[in-house]
Amino acid sequence: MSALRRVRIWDLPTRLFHWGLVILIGLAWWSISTGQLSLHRTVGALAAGLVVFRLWWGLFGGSTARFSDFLRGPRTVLAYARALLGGGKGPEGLTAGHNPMGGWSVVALLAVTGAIVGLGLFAVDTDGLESGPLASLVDYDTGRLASHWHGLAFDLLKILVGLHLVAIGFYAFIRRENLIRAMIDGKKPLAEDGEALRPGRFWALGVGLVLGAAVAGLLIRMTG
Amino acid sequence: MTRNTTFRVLAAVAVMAVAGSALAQDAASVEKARKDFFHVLGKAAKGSGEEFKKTPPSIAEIQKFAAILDAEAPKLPSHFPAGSGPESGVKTEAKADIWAKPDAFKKAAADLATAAHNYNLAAQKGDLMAAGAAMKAVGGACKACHKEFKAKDEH
Repeated sequence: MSALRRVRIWDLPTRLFHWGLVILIGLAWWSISTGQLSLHRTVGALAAGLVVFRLWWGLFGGSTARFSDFLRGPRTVLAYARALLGGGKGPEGLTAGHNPMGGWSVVALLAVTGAIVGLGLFAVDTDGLESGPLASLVDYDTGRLASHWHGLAFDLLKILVGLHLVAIGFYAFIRRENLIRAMIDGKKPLAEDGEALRPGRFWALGVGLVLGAAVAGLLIRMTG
Repeated sequence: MTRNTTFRVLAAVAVMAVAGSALAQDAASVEKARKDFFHVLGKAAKGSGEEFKKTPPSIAEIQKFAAILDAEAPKLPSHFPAGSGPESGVKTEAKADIWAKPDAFKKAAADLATAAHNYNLAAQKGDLMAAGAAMKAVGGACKACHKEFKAKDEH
């Protein structure tokens, strides 16, 4: 381990996005379970802003946040899975960003979260009284269907989050890699020649923040 | 078993099967009509809520929705005949409590009819403020009854 030093791999925007989404998912679940529809809509609007920001940051953000950095073909993913689960030393070397499996997990989590938010915009409750900000564009039956899928997609998200946690546990206890700490302070022990994070440009961060805030703000105004 | 007895047993089984399926079919058609009925209410409630949010709301539209709710709400109890609950085997969100606590259910249904009538009265008078408040009471009646007598949507 002496050849390893803690290197920055996750930039601040990516970490804030991650923990922000964790909080919002929890708030969304709690608010709907306790019948607080106004809060639920606000949380949904903020989540929409976060997703939009993350999509932008996936194109123009720091190197490890970019989709082009972590989306690998099926052969690479399979080879990684085999090395990981085959015991022994596991995959060669430590990767600076998402590993080939984790990259697709990010995409799945992001896609399902996006679907939940998108369906929620059109959802209508059984009484026809509570609804998402764009529900007036669809009729009652379509709105009910959107609500149904909104819930099914959340069930799917719970499964994905469960897998995410199992994977974190696997890395912690089997491979002795602390992924949670890395997502908090952004650093991970890497070999000294390991590729570190190349931060995103300041203008790209600015544009992403404006885009995300605009979407969240617009939706909050529409729900208000 | 004599041939005669066998015939009787078979006949009895056939009669029971036919009767059973007729009952199940009946419960299914009741459930279908019930769902269609609540869709009408849901649509009118959704339409009302959205109209009130517009600036300015169209009183003509609100009158239309209020008239539907007023006309339909009193029919609610007729959509819950005995034997159309979960025990019928038909998938339904109607809870058994509807028939176990008939007085409470009747009162909840009557509350809706009253609220819908008040809403319609205010709307036909052209009083937007009063109609808005009355519509809120309609929503309250929906929710109060659903809380007690409707199984929670899976979603």
